[in-house]
Amino acid sequence: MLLTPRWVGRFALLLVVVAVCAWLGSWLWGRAWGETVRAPLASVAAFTDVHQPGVSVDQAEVGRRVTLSGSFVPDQELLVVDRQQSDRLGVWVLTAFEVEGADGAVVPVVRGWVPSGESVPPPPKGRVAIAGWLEPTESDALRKRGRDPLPDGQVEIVSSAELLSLWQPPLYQGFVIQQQPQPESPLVGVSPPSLTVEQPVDWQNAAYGIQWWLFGLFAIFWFVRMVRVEREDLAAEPDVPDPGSLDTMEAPDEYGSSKG
Amino acid sequence: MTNSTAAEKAKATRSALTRYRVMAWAAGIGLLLLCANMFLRYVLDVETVLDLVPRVHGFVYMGYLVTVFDLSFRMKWSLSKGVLVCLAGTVPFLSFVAEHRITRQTREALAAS
Repeated sequence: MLLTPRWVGRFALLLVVVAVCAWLGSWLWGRAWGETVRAPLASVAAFTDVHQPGVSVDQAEVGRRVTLSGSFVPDQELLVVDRQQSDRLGVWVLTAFEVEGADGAVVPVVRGWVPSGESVPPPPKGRVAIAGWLEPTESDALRKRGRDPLPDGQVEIVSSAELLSLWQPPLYQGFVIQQQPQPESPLVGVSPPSLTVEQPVDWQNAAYGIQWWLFGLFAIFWFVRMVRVEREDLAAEPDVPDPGSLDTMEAPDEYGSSKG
Repeated sequence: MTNSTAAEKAKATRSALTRYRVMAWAAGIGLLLLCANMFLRYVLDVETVLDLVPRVHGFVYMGYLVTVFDLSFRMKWSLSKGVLVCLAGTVPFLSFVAEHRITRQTREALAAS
């Protein structure tokens, strides 16, 4: 009865409107609970001046920008799984970095982020100088996978205790997030968690999000009402051979008479 | 249909028109305040009490839509007319023009019935 091109078109329009409203609503709702980035500690320090092997990262140095020279150890590399970057899931590439002048001690360096399944480029060979942020070891509270074992070469968090059992000591505690991933590679720069602070809830965006969802619901409501009125009109028209109309023929013509 | 139900219907339509007019004015003024707020906030970069407007304007507009919806079915408007009247509420000043025309049309239709 309502399968006319006009009604199919109206239904398509409804779907578009509802989809746009739902999308805008969830986008704004998500922004209301977003995070913001705190300014890093102003001064840059030499890594070896602010951190020693075997001790945890000084609280005052967390998030410090550091420079360090040395070389990556290509066969000591792990993927840190379940890492979000702009709402996409991927991995951090964590490679041991032998620090120059530290008697062979290595520090784990997050070289960057790649989407899940993407192949990881090897680290640059030989002596390099890198800059990054100094991060403390990640807390076990971040583990979400329970006791599910991960395949070899993958870890869930950057835990100094876990790395000690996987890599050759001596090892620095904590880790460094490389500020600029190597150029012309799929690696994406990671923003340091210690500099990302919870932003207070943005009620304005939350309200906007709710408003868009209400607009979507309203469009559905309008469409349903139109369908009902159309069906009543069809049922009320005696000319239309509609089998359903027999029951309603005697009902008062509620909508047609005002033109009269 | 008897005269009394027709009169009741006309009365109900008149109150629907009044609700629509109230909300059209509220949404129209709210929209102008919203524009003023955006100018002050993003062009002149000052914070004023008008910063509260964006939070509530969407809900006022929502109320406007409900009254348009109500009136459009009572007056048996086409879908495109209903949608256009809804959209008129998003254009500064046009909402007042639309309100004026809709009020005139509705009163004429009521007088003719």
